[in-house]
Amino acid sequence: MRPFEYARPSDLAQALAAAGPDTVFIAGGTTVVDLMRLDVLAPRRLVGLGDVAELRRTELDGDPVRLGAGVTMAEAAALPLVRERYPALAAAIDLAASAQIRNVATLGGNLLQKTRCPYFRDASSPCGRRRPGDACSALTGHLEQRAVLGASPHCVAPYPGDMAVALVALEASVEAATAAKVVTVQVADLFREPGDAPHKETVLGDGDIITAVLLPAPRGTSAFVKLRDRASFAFAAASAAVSLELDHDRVVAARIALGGVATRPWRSSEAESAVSGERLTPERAFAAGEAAFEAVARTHENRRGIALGARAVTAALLACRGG
Amino acid sequence: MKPESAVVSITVNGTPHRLEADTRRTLVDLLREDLGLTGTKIGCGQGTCGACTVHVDGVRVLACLLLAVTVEGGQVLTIEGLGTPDGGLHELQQAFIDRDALQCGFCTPGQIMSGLGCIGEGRANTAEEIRESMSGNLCRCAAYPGIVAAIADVAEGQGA
Amino acid sequence: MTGARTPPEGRLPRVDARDKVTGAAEYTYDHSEPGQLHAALVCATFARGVLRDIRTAAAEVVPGVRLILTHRDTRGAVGPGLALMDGGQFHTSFDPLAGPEVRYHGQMVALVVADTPEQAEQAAALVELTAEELPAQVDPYAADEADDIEVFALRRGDPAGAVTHADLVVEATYETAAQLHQPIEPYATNARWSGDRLTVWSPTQWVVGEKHGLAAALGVEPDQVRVISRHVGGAFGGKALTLWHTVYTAEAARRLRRPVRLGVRRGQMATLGSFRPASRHRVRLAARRDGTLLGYEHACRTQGSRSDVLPLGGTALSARLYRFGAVAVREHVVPTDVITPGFMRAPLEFPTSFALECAIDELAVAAGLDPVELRRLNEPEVDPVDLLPFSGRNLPACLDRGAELFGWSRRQAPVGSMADPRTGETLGWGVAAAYYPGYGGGPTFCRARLSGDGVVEIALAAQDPGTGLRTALAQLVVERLRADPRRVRISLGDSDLPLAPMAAGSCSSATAAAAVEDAADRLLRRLRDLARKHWPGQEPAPGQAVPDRHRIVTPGGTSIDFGEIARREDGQAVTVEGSWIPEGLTPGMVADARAGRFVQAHETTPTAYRASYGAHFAEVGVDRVTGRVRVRRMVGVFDVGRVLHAAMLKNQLRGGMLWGVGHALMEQLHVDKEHGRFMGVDLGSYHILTHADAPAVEVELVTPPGPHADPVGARGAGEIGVVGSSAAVANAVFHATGRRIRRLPIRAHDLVDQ
Repeated sequence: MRPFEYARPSDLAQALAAAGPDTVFIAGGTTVVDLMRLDVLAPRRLVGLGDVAELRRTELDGDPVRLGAGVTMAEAAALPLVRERYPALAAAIDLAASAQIRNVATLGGNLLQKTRCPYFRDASSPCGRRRPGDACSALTGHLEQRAVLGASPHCVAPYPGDMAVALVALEASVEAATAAKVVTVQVADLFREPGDAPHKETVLGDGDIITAVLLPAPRGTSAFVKLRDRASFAFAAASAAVSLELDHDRVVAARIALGGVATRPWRSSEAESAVSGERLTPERAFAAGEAAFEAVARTHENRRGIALGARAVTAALLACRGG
Repeated sequence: MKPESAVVSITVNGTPHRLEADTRRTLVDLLREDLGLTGTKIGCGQGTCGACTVHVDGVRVLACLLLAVTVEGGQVLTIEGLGTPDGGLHELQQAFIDRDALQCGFCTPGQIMSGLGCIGEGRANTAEEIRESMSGNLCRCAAYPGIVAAIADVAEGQGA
Repeated sequence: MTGARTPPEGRLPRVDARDKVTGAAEYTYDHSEPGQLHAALVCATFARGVLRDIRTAAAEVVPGVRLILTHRDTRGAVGPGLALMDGGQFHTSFDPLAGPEVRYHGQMVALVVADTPEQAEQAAALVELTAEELPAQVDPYAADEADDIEVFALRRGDPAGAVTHADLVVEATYETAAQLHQPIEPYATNARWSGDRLTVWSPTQWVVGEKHGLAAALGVEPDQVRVISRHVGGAFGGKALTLWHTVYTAEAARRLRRPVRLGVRRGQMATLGSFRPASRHRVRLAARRDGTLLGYEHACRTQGSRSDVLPLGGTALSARLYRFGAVAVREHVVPTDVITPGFMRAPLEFPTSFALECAIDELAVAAGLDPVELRRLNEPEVDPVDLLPFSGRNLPACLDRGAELFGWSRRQAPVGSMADPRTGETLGWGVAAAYYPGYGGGPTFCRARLSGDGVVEIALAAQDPGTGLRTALAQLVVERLRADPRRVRISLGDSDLPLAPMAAGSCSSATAAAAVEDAADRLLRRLRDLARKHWPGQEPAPGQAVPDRHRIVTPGGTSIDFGEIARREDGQAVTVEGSWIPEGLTPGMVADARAGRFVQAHETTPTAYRASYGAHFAEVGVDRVTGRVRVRRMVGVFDVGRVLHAAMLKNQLRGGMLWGVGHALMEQLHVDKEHGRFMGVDLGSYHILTHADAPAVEVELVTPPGPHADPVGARGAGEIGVVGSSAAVANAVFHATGRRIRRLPIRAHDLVDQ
């Protein structure tokens, strides 16, 4: 780790003013400290957001529901409102990381977590996401879990998180403060595909701070399914979040998002079309999973991602049906 | 004082401390190097094994992923802070012995601190619930069945 | 889930458990010395080549930096160190700082020492390497077979000929992935010089070997070196041998005249020590229609390095498992550009047994026989390789008892015919046999010292890296002397103590126990003699033959505390020595062991072949939609000879069985062939079992009467638990799904991919 100065602003205005070159904000720190120790992040200044009260502002009785970005994942998942009305979100948080990490990681920090691509995490490997202009090492190397959807010749690293996937299916937004104003961005629009600039991960500027997650009133039911090699404490090999409006067993409207298999939380209009207006049978749920990857050419490298991504969608749809 | 160091005020196992520390110093290194509390172990240094689990302000956290400066003013409880003042064991420590819930013992302090959190959070109602809630604590000896049994023993005793 | 708060199995609770649950137990990285400096390693960031430059300028100006050791500074000052296979104590003979040559990605190329760990880590990251890079081959299956090194071959009869008149032939290729030990305690070293005497704290399974290895590499006499390893946070074979970073930490301490501590980062561990190599197995079984085996052929290729040749095939052991009729096995090592692989829990047995025990299951399916029945049917009368009688073979008993505990008779044979209506999972039940050779161990000595306070201290240079050896020995002393457990101390993990072997080969507990039993018996005789001497009197009164705990009853009928006897002696203590020299070891071999060389008696004696046996039963549930495999429960029944302490043994056996679950479903070292390196070696990427993956495991021990390997009659339990466990899971997956996955690990996409 390189030496750095530490600042601890006491309000949002001070925090925004502290932004600058070689400066990194730190909330729970579970990503930032990890990457600093790997020499992947090497800020000269670290700005702690722990005392910024605005980031804790939560309004459960509004529409949308507002969860402060500085609320921890454990606190959010424990809210009865979240558990009852947004089951996909509760499940996505419950299945993320470990209890210890959920106790400190914040909602805002979780959304902005970095990819787990081992080349990104290895400071000695070229990586365009880490160093603009570098070639993608994973493209020629071994990345078992390469993004099947949204990849470019410059980056094939999957977005690792679970919560953002659920938020996309729930059509949630984030509120962010910039130096000039407060903006609201749909979570579905927050993340960029790598294209030829993989280092630009979100539509936010470097000095902006996510201040809240905004949840619209739920429509219908929702579910989140996470597939991985072991039963717990692992990133998703594939995940799917589904929010469904059902009329008995007929799908009136579907919002389906995938994780672990795409460069950003991925909303699949193909999967949604495959079930919309249809009876939600196992066959239909299976077809929806396949539809999400219809446009993807099968290769040896993406076989695992496609198989698990498709089945995650199927399982999440069936979970909405109640089994 | 150099700009890359800071004064940290922290209470550990009930004892207040005020230390000058490198801003890079993690909580686990502060506990071990500055305070000599080596019961908290470092297994990975990157939040993937749970061996460094301690409690900060009443919740279980990973001391390797927390910079000491960010714990300013915090109340920290480590494995050395369990048990009675006369050297008696905490009931979860005793349950680990009774269930032989360990082999090499390296992950054990973290398992116990995490187990306390698991019980305190009300997530020790069934073996399955304990297993999920404790999955942030790896045990390469795989003494898992004993650990789950020990936590269940204590949770049952407290619920009764 | 409720249970009485009594010590497990009515025996002593783990004697070091209190220190471990309070955090008081001192592991290497916990030790600190006044004035201690901190080290960090720089590892190669390219796969293979020659270092042209190591630029240290930026690192040197980091505040607090004291020393940067590279090959330029160390040539001639250190080494050589011999690998175990060459008669030494090192993991590999290749000294990574011997010169500019880099043989593998991640090779240690520099050691940085600074005042604080943060400074050392920062400086290490600033060291820049330039090199002339060369192509590297890390994929053993892409390597040219012409370079393979044959390390073993054995033939009995003509199994290829048997194929021509067999009714059934199973022929298949099986693979196991390269794997990492991943003990939760990382490698670490603490080194302190006092004048020309070196003390090293190191997590090792072999303090004696480490002492001699360090002495040789550092150019000092063995008696100038002391190695301390009181607690080891998991070893599993990965801490068996001396590693080069230990040498260089000691070298840095010598140059700086200050104690130096190194804590190795998790991500560096994979290329500083050994790993379980990838292996590929071609197996052919020939049998009659009724399941009688006629032939077994097994050819395996195991990944190796270019520095050392380490045979890890294991077919010499699998060839003795059944009455095969005819046998032909061959083993090759495939040199690749990696650090030398090495011993990892059942290094010979795990991969071989996976291949054979899956093939046996395939044969059972082909023959339409129950797989338990097929194994029973081919039970040999004598060892099929040397035609020697077995010393206590209880595989049928293990299979029968395991089947009973598991409820095997309720198994429905057709694939996919069992399900759990509650979870919707398809169920599969699988079985596999376990075996592990009964190595005889090495020469072992121990000291028993009774002091005036009545404490009996047993001391020997053995290790307890979680095996429970301390507890088993304490139990033995308590029983042998009728001692008070509170006044028994077991001192291990210090090379200054009497000679004892490496904790390896599942035989160190038995040999340590034999030596301790000898010492305990000698101590008891001495105490009786002393009681007679100091308390002369009449004949003992009737009914007083059984002494009270921690007491001796004199001929006069007086009951005297052990401590009271010691206090009558000069020096207030009674000391005796015990020893155990395994059968078949010559005086020359004992001398070799004293000189720090690895000496272990074979499993084959002139009159018998000895091994432990067991049986695994596994139930898996497979999610029909997602392909998720969950091991729901396991039963293991083992015969590991005389039981010294059942709870310690069962804990280890359960751990081994759970390792098999991890090996079956998730553990693999990913390889980047293009860049010639391992990828994802930390615990975030290399997945080991979590709590949530661990099923209920029932373990039972079958303890036979009959001949034993040694006076204690115990064989170890550290390794047999993982042998066959993965095969039982794979066979259960087949039973559930009809998919025969022959490559570990088995993962969900293998089961749902169309």
